[in-house]
Amino acid sequence: MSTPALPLALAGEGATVRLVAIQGGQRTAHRLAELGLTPGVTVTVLRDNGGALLVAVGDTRLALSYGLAQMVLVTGEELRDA
Amino acid sequence: MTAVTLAAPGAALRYAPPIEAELDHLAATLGAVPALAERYPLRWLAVQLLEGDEQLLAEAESLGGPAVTAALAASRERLAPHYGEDLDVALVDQRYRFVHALAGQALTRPAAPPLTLSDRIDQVVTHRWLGIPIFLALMWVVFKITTDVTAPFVDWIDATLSGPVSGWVAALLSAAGLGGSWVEALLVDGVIAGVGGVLVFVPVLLALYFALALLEDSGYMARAAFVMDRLMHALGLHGKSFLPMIVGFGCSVPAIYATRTLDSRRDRILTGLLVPFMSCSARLPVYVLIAAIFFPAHAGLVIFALYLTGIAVAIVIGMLLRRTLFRKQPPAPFVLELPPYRLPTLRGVWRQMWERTAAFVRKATTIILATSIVVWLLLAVPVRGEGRFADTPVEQSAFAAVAGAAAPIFAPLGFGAWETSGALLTGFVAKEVVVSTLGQTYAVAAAEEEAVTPTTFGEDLLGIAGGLVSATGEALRALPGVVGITLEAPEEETAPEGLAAAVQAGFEASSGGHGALAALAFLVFVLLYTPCMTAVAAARHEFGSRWMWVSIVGQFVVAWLVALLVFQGGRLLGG
Repeated sequence: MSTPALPLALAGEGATVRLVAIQGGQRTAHRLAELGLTPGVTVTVLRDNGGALLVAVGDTRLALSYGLAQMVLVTGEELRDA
Repeated sequence: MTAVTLAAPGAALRYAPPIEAELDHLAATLGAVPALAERYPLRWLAVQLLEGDEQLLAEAESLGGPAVTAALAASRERLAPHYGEDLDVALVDQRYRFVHALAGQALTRPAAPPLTLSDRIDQVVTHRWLGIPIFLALMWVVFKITTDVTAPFVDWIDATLSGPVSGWVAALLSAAGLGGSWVEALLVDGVIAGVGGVLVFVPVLLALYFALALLEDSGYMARAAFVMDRLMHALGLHGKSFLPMIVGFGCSVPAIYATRTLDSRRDRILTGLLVPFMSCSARLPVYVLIAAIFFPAHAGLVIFALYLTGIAVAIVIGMLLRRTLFRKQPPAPFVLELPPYRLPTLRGVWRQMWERTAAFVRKATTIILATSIVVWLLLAVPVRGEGRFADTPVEQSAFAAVAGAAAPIFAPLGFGAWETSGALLTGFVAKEVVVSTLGQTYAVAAAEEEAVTPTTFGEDLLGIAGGLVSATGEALRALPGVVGITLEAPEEETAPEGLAAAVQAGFEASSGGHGALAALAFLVFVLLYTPCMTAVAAARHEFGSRWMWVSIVGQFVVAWLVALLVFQGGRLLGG
């Protein structure tokens, strides 16, 4: 886990990354955590349409805007094309 | 009856020891308040309070007093060294860990999960290049279903109400000795016409809600929001707002109701304010009539330009609203769970169609009825001349007086005559009547009154049933057109003899010789002001009275300003 953390928005389509932390407001962190984005989970970026991401967290599929994806810090353990 | 005993789940969710200790503390404190102990499971309540549920906290504090506040503060303080400010996230995290541990024991999963069917569909429908065309194609289908397929049913309801039903009422009144009186006129021209104005929307709404229910229940709507998100950002909205906008080209009423699919109230209201600028189908006859009179060579171009103007105005107003009225409310951060695709159930779809349509009919009937009666009264009351109540020429009615008083408002726009302001006045009730009011106010006898041949009750019933059958047939024939793109010419609105000349002379006179420019300004005004009373009723139903007035006044001001720009700007350019 020595790779530096970067925002999920920069991970790139197809990347599989590990969630490190959620920056920003308590409310945001809580909401994202309830949807399954908790520290330690593996996140796969299925789509990046230039304004929002489509990610897979376990069996859940989430669409999230760049604004929110900027607050999600991930570490690129298996970055493929970033 | 056999009692079914469910085995108690063997695994209980335990949080980390420091949290468990505090949960016990809190539960004990909360348990000392009987009102709380009766109402909530104490452990659950303790978890909610630690996670920061504001509503429950307020309730617990009001029932339990300072003891609860103090206990909660003490617990948070003791937990701070362990979790810092992320206590709520830690609680959620531990729940997920528990679930994963449990699932890990119970389920065997392949190391690399294969793509599900949902994922494979998503690869196509959310594709960077294919996503938007697929979405637009689906919207086109929805648009066609709500207009073409329902049109025969709309005509059928209209024909039934204005034909047999009106006839029955007249016959009943004759039997009661009131035939030909003002009571008959009020009931037939006011009440039945008004209620009919609502009822003809029912097939349109049922079709729209059918299509929406299919899109929602299948799970596609969430994908559509993702696909359109980027385009809608310019308006300060996100992807889901696109659907109401598209529906608005058919009819503003279902479009306003379609804003229900949006999550935040801010988005619903902002979208609801922009939807009426999309040129609805009821405005088309007005365009066709006026464009045919003033721009016979370029009628199609003028009409197309009007549609584009509506879109452009919506974009500008959206950007303005986002920076003014909605400045303090940024768009809700967009995170949306995409459910796996499912086959919609007939029951689920029907329930949505029925509930939403019934709610509309209940709410809209009152306001429409009231407005139609007021307009009828204005037309019935003579203020000049020899006419009697309910038997007065239009130009001597109170309606003409009101329209005349309103006319100066439109003078700077080039159409400050009572004839046109009267048409705009009734156009406030419904755009469908603008053309017929123009015919009335320019005192041109409408095309031959249909010869009314007396029919028996039985014949009427047969006629109604036959009409329904042929409407169904027509709707079925329209279905293939939904998929193929068949741009049929809009129904010809043939101007009655003399109307074209009268309208032309009227616009020339009111604009000081710039008739064509005034006509263009008139069309722009028709495009941008309140679509109809039913849309107003829908706005009040969805957003409340305050926003209804913002919508009415805002649209009037925008319509006035843009029409002014067209007329005066055109004159400056030497039009």
